[in-house]
Amino acid sequence: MSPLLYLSWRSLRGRVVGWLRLMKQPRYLVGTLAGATWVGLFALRPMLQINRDAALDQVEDLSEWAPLLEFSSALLLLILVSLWWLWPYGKALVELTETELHLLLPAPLRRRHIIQYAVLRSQWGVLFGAAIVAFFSSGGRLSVFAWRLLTTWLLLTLWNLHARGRGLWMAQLSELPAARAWRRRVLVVGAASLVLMMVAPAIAALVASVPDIQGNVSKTLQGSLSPDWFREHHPALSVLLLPFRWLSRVVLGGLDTELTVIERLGLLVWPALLVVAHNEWVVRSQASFEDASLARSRRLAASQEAGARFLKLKQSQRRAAPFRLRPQGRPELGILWKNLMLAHRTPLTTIGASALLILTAATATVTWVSLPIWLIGILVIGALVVLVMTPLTAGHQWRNDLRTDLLRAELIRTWPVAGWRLFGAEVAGPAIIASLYATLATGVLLVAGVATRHLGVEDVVLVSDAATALGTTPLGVLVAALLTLIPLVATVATLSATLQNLVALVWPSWVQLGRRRAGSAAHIGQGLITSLGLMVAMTIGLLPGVIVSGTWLLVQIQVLDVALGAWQLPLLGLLTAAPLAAIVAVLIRFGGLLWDRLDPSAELLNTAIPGR
Amino acid sequence: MIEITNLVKAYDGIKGVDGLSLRVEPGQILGLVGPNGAGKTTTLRCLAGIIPATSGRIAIAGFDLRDRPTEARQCLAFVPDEPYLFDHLTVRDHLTLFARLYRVDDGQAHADTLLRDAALTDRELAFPTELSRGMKQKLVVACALLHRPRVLVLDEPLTGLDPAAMRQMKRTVRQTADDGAAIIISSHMLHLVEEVCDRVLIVSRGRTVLEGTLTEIRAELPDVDADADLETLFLRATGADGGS
Repeated sequence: MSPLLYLSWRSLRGRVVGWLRLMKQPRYLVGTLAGATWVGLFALRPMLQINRDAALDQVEDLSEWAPLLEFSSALLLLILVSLWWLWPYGKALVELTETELHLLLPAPLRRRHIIQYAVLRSQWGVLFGAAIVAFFSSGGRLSVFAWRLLTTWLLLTLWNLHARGRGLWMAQLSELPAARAWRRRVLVVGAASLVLMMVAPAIAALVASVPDIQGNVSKTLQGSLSPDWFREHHPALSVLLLPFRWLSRVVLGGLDTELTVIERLGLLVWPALLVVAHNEWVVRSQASFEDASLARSRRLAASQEAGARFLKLKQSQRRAAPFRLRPQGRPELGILWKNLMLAHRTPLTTIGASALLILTAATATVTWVSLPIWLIGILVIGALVVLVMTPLTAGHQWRNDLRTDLLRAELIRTWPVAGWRLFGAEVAGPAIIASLYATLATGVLLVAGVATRHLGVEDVVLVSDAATALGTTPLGVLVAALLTLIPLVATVATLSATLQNLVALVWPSWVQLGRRRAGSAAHIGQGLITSLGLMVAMTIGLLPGVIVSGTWLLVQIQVLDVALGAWQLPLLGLLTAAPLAAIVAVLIRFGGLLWDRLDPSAELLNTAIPGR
Repeated sequence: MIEITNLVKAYDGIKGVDGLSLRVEPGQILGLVGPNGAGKTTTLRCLAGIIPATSGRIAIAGFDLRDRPTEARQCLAFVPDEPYLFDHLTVRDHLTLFARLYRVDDGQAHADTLLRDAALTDRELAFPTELSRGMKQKLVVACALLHRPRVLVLDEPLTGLDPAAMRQMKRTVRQTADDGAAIIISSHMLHLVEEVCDRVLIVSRGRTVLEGTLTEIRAELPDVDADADLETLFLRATGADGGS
């Protein structure tokens, strides 16, 4: 095991050293401090406070529920495990990277050590998950946190090992003679089915008790899921549940304040034994995991390659482009053309015409045909979600900007385009696509608004009242509202894309470049920091516009006593968006400056530094 | 014309390139050779404007790279050691994009010629992931030559090419120089440098060790045969021959 321990240690050390080296650069240090402060003050502290307040009554409340919780969670665990084994196939997955597979498998290492290495490596995720659970369930008390961390880690590790063990065991079946493998499969499926049949009465009892759940809920449920009742009526199941109850008791033990330290430690014996046994089961497996692991690592690598998804395009689709790019004209339009194609190759005119056609047809239809209110509700909610979220997260999904292009810094840095123009072109791609989606969503809102005409005036008070106040028809209000929204969402989308690209330029080592899946704590942190920046910039950007628009409205309505016209709404929208647009313009200039001064040597080009 | 004066590139105070100067006239091909870590790629990256120099001056076709980067880049083409291409663009898309970036009037017609020369005409709708390493390299070179650069910088241009493509590449480089471009080639393939380049610059630890034609370099080194090849000269100059 020593070479693998050494590898693990050096990998961890390398990560820490790499992180510390980044901290030597002021921008990374400032970024870390800003992120940590923000997460601490605005995310963790309020959570902790809510957690602590809730935790005061938690023990008292839950102690009444403890037996019920212990029994029901044991039952749930038994059901889950049985269901899991009901499917008699599995993959022998030992998660190793392609490099590890190619270097470790030919090395004179025992296979159990390689498996153990993979198991230990997966512990980072398990520990992180356990820490999160412990943090949010500890009420800010250190002793509770430590207990929760330990017990959650044990249970998650057990679950992780059970999944691996099952996969390896099932995969090994395929290496046996067919008849023997089938016999084992039948045996396993039979056993799992038997357990589930034994559990059925418990479920039936629970379901039967549901109508009686009123008044003292705890008492009713405890009557339905009583261990004593099970012991009396289903002794076999009661015995079967015992090991699972010992497991669930470990978590609930933290609630019992009367337990001594020895008693608490005693609770840990059973899950610890299970973890050791499971670990032995996994590392001693003789299943051939090599092929499955290699296939997985290749699949993973392929999914991270941006190019994989484009191979499915037909020859005719490969000729399509968002717009025709002529050789003459601004070069930055070429960058936009390229970036739009990263999201989609359909011509923009086709997208626009299709959307217009569909929305017109839909509007005409709902003018004459009555839609059920639930469908209108779904349309409104769906459209609102798209309308709000797409501009705010502009490009996060498509990443058709510097977040992909920085991977090709060696090519892009040689282009004869001024920094701010290049930065602006990079930002434009996600901003345009987000704006298109948001415009489409406003179109759907319009359709939903028109559809409400069949519901009667009292159902759409807001629109009708606004129409009366503005001296127009409800349709006029909707159209005016949409024309007001479009410049606003387009500006917000551009601001969001600008900020996300600025983050990529300032902290390229931290930002997820390309389409690689995010998921680590660092990526979550980046998202939080970007959101903070977006909120601050939006507040600063929207405030002047809101003040100007508000003053205008105040003077017109209160001082001059002139009624507001529907035509004024789009004008007010533009007025509100204008300062935001000015901020975007300044940020794009700033981004260009950063681009011009960018030194991608170490962070993007992995330049070997001589003397190190 | 390429002119580099006292180029320094330091990483955290450690100099990767330390006071390098060179000059390449139009129509001339300079071979940049040196052991691993000598600072060749760093020099080329500084020259191409990919990374900023710590100090020193770089002029491309008379334009100072720091003061007039856009004009300098307009005259330059860089072929990196890895064929960096966009996964979502076809072969034809790449050429269309480069025609626009460098404002090539006859982009379409010239792209057709370059595709034909690179034997990529029947692959114009292929994505980079559908191309072999050699094909990708040829596409990168085609993109680089599309705007008829006055300065061409090639970092290991023959990597991954088959013999026929190598010959074609050498011919292309020579032709580009004959058309008046100043060219720098960095390569470990010393026979290529010897065959194609007019002059050679040997660098080590970021500094110039020797510069000149092969004859001039032979004259600089004591105890070398009059017909010593570049490999011998290189090993002697960099001390990698063990002092033999």
